Amino acid sequence: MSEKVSEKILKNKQQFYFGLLLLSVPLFFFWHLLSGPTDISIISATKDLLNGNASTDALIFSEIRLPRALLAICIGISLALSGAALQGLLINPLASPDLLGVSQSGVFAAVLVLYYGLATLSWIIVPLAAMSGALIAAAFIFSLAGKYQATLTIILIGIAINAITSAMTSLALSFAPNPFALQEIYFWMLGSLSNRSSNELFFALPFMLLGWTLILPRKHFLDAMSLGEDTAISLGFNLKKQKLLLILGVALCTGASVAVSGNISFIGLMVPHLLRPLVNNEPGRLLAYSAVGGASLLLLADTLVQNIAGPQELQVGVITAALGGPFFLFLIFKNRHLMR
Amino acid sequence: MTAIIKASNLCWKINQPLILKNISLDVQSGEVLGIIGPNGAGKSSLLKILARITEPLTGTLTLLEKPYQEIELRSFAKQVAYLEQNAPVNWPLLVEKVIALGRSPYQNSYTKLSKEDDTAIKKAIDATGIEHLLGRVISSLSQGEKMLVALSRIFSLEPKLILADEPTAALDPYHQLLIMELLQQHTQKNPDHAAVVVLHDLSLAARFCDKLLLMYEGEIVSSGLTESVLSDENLREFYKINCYSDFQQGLVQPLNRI
Repeated sequence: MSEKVSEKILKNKQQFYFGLLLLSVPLFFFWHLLSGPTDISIISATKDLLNGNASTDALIFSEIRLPRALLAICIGISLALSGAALQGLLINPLASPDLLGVSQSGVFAAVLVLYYGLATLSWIIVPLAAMSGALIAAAFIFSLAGKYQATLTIILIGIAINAITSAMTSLALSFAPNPFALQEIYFWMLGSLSNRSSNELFFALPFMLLGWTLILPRKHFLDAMSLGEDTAISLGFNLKKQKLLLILGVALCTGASVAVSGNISFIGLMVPHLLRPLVNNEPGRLLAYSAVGGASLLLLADTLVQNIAGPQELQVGVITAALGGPFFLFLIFKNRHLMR
Repeated sequence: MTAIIKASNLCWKINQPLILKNISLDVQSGEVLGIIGPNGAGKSSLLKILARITEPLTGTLTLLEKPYQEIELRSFAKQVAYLEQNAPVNWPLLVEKVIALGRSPYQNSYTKLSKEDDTAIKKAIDATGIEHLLGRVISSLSQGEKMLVALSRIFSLEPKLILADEPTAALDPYHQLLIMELLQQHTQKNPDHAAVVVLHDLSLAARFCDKLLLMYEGEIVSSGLTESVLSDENLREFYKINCYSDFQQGLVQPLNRI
């Protein structure tokens, strides 16, 4: 077989897998809509909604199921996109929103308001706190990295912020005023999409949209970064500006996700890894692929969470890790010869 | 002949002592200018300043008589290409993708490769003769092949000036000669092209460079035609070596340390 032919087959195979991935999103979306603790008829609910009939089915559908499914999509996109952007920017396959301490700072800020009981004032307090925490962390990283914005400096500052905010979160937990608060904080930290309404969706969406529009156009820059920072500059990119916009985009995406769902781990790290073979390791093309993959994976995980019977609903972060982890290991095993 | 780049009174430092002290130089069109000097002389730092990767502390730089600050980054990138030492590629990309990255200055956020991009890339691949490497992953190539890919990336940009940092380091003699010949061809093909090459191999410098700059502790201590810069006295004083030189053959062979 000539090289050109095998190349073509590879390309078709990649397109086929991406097609499957694209198709999985609406599929999982509908499965997600059908899942839940009560049985409702989607068709009659939609009919009632259109006719302005406030039936129970219609309410459950429009106030619980639809927002939750849409949130899963948006959070999946945001987390995976952030991970892909950071891995490309820092030229490091280990990078993820967790690594920079951005999500951990969001968690800490939210735990603080939960701890002081401010959260009971309004539903918006916790997301607002988490969002601010994430943005402050990003600003901190960027200003501390200083004039040179060296990749290693950014990673190290991120690790430090991560350690500090984790410790402070644990501290807040051990001083928690009562066991109920402790449980609330704990569940919130693990990341979950249950009991979310359209309020959370409308809160997070503008930040996420802004984040996506900051990250997606940096495609060529991320490609150029595979040749190293110096060469990227020599290719005409304003390194400082590009980094600033990317980190801001990541902070908005991660902050908004953490704000409404807690800390859903592993998606940001894993999804870009899973999809890298489909784009020949190109960090630029990986962005859009990761966005689709993140949406699909989180929809699936959150659907499974609702369909697995148990004394109480599982945390979705547990499923994403349990589902993706083994596959992740398999992929690393398969591609280890490339990672020299 | 016109000056592509003019630099005057460049100074630069990281911490205390100046790494570059009052450097002034002209890069003329049509020439291969070699920068030589012992390790730590400031060659790579100077090249990065010429490539606009680092900003000098003081001094002025012009590209075709226009100050660097007045040139937009992207239009600068279209004219001046920089080849990093060892030409690292951080992800296992396909060879054709690496070459296509050379066209980045011509692309906007959402555009794909245009017809002109494609022609330029094909031309670059022809020039370096690496068609057989297409479809392979960059991390599977030898260092010599990687360097040829990097050079194709740079040729695809069709730059006026190529700034190359030790492009022959860690290569076998065949690839050393090939890389230098390709850089020489680039400047000879078009009268307004030029190349600046940092070199450690004095024979390659003698053979392929039209002019040389000898750097020592952040200063240019000698410049001009190769024979005068590679004089026995200079080699003794700044490299601390005795050499056997035969400029007809393009040979400068280190014999012993002083």
